[in-house]
Amino acid sequence: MLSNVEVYKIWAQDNALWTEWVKPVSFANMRRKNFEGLSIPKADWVLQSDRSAAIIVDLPGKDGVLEGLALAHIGYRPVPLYNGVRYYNASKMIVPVHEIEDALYNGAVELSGLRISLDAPPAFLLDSNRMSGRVISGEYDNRWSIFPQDMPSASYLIGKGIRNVIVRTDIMRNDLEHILYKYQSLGITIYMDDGVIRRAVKVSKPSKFRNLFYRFSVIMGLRRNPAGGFGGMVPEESSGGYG
Amino acid sequence: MGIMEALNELETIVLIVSAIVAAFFLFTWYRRILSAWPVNRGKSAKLVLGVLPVLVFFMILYILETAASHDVVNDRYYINFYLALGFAWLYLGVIVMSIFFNLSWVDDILNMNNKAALFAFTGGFLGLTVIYAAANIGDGPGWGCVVFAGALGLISWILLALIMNLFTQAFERVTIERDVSCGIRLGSFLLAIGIILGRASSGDWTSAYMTIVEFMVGWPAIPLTLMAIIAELLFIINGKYNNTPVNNPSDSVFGAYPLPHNVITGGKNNISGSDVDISILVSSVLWGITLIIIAVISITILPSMFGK
Repeated sequence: MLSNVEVYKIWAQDNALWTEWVKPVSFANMRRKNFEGLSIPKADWVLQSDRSAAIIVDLPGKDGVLEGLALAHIGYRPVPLYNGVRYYNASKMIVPVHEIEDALYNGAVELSGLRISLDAPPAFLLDSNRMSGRVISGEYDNRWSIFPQDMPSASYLIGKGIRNVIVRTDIMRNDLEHILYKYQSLGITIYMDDGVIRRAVKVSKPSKFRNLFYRFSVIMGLRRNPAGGFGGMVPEESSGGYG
Repeated sequence: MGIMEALNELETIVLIVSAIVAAFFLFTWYRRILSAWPVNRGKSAKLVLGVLPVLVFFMILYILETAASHDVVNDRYYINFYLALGFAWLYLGVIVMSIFFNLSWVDDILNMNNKAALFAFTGGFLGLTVIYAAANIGDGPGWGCVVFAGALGLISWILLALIMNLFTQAFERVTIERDVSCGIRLGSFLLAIGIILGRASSGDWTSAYMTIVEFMVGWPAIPLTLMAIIAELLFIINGKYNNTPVNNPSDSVFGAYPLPHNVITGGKNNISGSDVDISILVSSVLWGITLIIIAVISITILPSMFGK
């Protein structure tokens, strides 16, 4: 049985090019248990590792992790960017991150058996449910958002030979557009791939793009966790009245 | 009764609020540092962040015991009062940096281990401290004059930093590009203008109007900002950066200058998700020291326009 740090170190391998971007939050709160096998799909929507292409997997729940592992099999370096904190009571979580953490935990065994180049192209893993769900009092609000600061800059990607970014998703989410629009404006071609059809897309300029207050204003609507990432109880509404 | 005398009536409330805010600030600060996971990640950043409040405590304490108002220097109550107010001030300052500079010690430093942000934030934190500590220098009727003079310094500090960013996109290069050299230069700049504006915020209180007039003694912060902008643009334009024309002309008010491209070539090291050219790093350190020396010289030698 691996410790949380050991699992983290498998996903955030020392000296690998994209390790700095791996979010530790999901690993900090992992529940240790016996490893279970994962049913990893074939990433047949990608023929082979393309060193000029970075992939952003924006799929719901553990699908992102499984897709990341499938991509690892063909030479990509999966980079988990999950930033929602787990709550002990799964039914209370607005974003069900427990299955993501379980997949990361179980996927560590799979990943440790693969030989991925230290400078392999990245596959950034996101949960497309990160901002979904209604905030209800008494629930654990672990919604989170991705910001330009959470991913490598366009110039850094270009410096590493990345010319294309393929987003594996069915819909382009607003927070991701802030990142992709910048990439696009610096010459990186953006593709959207729903697993069947891949097409080049022109990302529209999102509102508040490069606005200094953007990150602060989004974070104000979320609940920070003291240990990092996002997650906190929504206070119960007072029942009010007397007696 | 003047407004400052009226504010003194609120002294006890201010002390209680400041103490609560300061305690909350320090508790949150150290709790986040200690609970950041994994423990071994970003150890140097955690160390710096852990030392900062201790350092600024002694900075403010030294000023309060040596140069504050005559009724403060030997009064333990007032020294504690202004220390608590100082940490409440810094809490506000940290929020200000997060809102206006998009520079967050939690997100950028602790969560993302961004070394560039560490340098910039440290300079900003010390700059804020210097402004507050200096606002305590001189005789005055109470806490209101300290806050008033300090607020003049703080607002000017924010404006000058925003002007600097308008021309150079420095905040973005620190938080997104993770440009360590830029972080060093930005941190030095924030400290340097903090020193000058701190001097402008200091002095004996006569009236709000005269405090504003006397604040003009901080004029060297303007040419220093211009120097910092020009230097920043030179650092960017410098041939040491890759000049592949992939940049968006709308990136800054200067338009077509190339943003740092950070291509791995010989002589560059990967630090915190950014590629660092050692020669630029060294020249950035030297430039940062130069900025601070200029600031210190300007407050000690340059004649003021208003004879302060």
